[in-house]
Amino acid sequence: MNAVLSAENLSVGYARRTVLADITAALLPGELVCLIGANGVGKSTLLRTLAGMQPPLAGRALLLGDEVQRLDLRARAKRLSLVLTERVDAGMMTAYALVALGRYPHTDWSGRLSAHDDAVVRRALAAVGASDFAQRNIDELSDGERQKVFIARALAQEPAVILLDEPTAWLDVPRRAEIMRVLRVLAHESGRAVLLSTHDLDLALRSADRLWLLAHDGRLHVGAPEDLVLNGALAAAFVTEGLEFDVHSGAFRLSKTHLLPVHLAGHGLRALWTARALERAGFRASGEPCPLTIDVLEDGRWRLTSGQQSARYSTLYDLLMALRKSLP
Amino acid sequence: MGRPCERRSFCYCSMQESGKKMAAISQNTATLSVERAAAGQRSGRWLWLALAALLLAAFVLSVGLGSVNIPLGDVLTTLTGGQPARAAWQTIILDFRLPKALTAMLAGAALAISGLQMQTLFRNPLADPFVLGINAGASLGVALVVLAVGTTGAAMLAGLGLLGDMSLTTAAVLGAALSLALVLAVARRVGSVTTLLVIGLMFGYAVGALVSLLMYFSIPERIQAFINWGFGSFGGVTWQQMPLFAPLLLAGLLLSWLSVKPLNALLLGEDYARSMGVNVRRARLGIIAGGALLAGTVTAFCGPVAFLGIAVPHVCRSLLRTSDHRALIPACLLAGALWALGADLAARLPSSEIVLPLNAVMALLGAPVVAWILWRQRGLRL
Repeated sequence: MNAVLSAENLSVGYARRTVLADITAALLPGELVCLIGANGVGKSTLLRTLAGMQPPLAGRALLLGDEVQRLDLRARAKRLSLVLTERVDAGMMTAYALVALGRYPHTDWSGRLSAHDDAVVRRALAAVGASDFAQRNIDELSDGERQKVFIARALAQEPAVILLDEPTAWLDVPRRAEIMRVLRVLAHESGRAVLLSTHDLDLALRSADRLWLLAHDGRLHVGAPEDLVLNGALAAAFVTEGLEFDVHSGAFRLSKTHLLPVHLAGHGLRALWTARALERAGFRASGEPCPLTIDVLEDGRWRLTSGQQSARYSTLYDLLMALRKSLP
Repeated sequence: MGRPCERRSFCYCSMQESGKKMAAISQNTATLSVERAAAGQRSGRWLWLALAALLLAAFVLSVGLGSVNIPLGDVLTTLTGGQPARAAWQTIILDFRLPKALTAMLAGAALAISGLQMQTLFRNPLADPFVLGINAGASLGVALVVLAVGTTGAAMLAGLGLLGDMSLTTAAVLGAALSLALVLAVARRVGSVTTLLVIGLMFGYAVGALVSLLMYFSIPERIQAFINWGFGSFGGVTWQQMPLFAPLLLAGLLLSWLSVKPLNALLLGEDYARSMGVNVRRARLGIIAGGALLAGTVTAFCGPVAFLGIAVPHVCRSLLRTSDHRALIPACLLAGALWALGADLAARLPSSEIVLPLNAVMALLGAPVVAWILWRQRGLRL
């Protein structure tokens, strides 16, 4: 398949500071790609350069074969649209009117919508599940609804590529998953390429067709999320002192070497969540004998044994409080 | 804590299901939203009709009322080209009241639209037609003529034939045109609108300082003349000046109408506008040129008419409940003209000889109205 957007030996940054050098990657039609990397590694700068918002320092950014920077603005707008991370105070307009602004490169000098434009706008609203609040003012919408409307606006531009800079940054967890699902369906069904930067590693691992992973050294690793987990690139990009990547759960957590071992006896769901609670409080559930022992009792309580002393607790909260007190 | 594969299949199911739901809902809401939009249009139409009717009434009142009482029938006869009962009435109506009413309408429309453009361009609800210092330039021109005439420097200039019989208006036109040229030159080179806004402010301060220096060194009678100009008036434009005044404003109005599409895109900020294909620099230059032409022309001929340019756009936004410039520009045109006529009428204190300063009346009557509208709307929006 031919790439819709590609970076060829692209260097990005500012006059006095090169942020990333020699980036080569390609975005294919119909795929959802998440750009991830530690804070400050240059995700936004790379996105801005790919979008033509700032010139590359070296190399080329190609949009359907043409250099983004040299494309006429209107022609570029027909190929690529954006969802920016800053919250825009867009004045008094309905969600429909905001999405209709996406028709900008397609309409005449006055911006009047044709029947076709109207149909495209309605389709875009429906595609993100925003038809319900199409006639509401955007400043009355929740953050999640608002983000859907901005995605619909990008979609109404009918581009080949949609770039989104941290589209889930302002949202709560269920809303993040919802937006990601919308984008995924959108990419797969419309055949448009969707590239988004995100801090939400867990969601990126679960949703992206491919990851673009910016490592600490400024190299870009490209691959299916699972490939990057297995080859260790993901762990290397994010692991710092005291934090480790658990390849089994695909999540980061506090490094186990720093945790105090506690013997945990029990099984089933309650034991599982007890282990999680222990980890959060700075302990590690262990099968080996330890000075501290916790039994998950059948009566719904927990027993903490320390040497000769033993006490029962009816909630995990009380158990953890007691554990903290027993620390030296 | 499901396993990833379980979650994925769950996601997929809910995806399909919600997809169907979405389609069903969107069919319902499509009809619903169309109805609501139609209802909105109906109430909008009433608003337009009311505005137009009020404007017509204000126009007739403005021509019909004055220190000389003329029966309404004779006023209408004169306006439609007939002969009134007394020949003097014709002169009063056609040579004094009519140009004044036309000037007020044109100036009001121009200032309101100029203010709207500046508010959108600078994404600032407090912006007005004069943020870029257009009125400062005009007032410097006027100050030079009014205050400096008779002092040695001006005498020298006059000796060179530069000041000669230069009128107030010509000085103001020159001052406004020069500051307009300066603003455009700066706007071409400055990247961010915020920088441009601050530069405009600084320009205003610097020129204001020059004016106050001039005032400091001039005699009280001349200062009074300058202050009178500062009150603002629609009465200064004669039929001789109209062929310059009206076409300049019509050109400015045309320019602003041509920038209606980029203005709408700029509501989302410059980054989004650019991503939608707006050549932001060119659009900005067009908007500033149009807005400054409108504001500069009005200031040159009518003095620094304040308040209207900042207030009318807000009133129109909250009446129409939209930021769409395709609706706001015509609305500002009508409402600005209406506001100016109304203020002029009120300033004349009907059937008395006294004429109050226009700016004072404009703000005194207008400020509570605007405050009330914004209060009801709970906040200022662009």
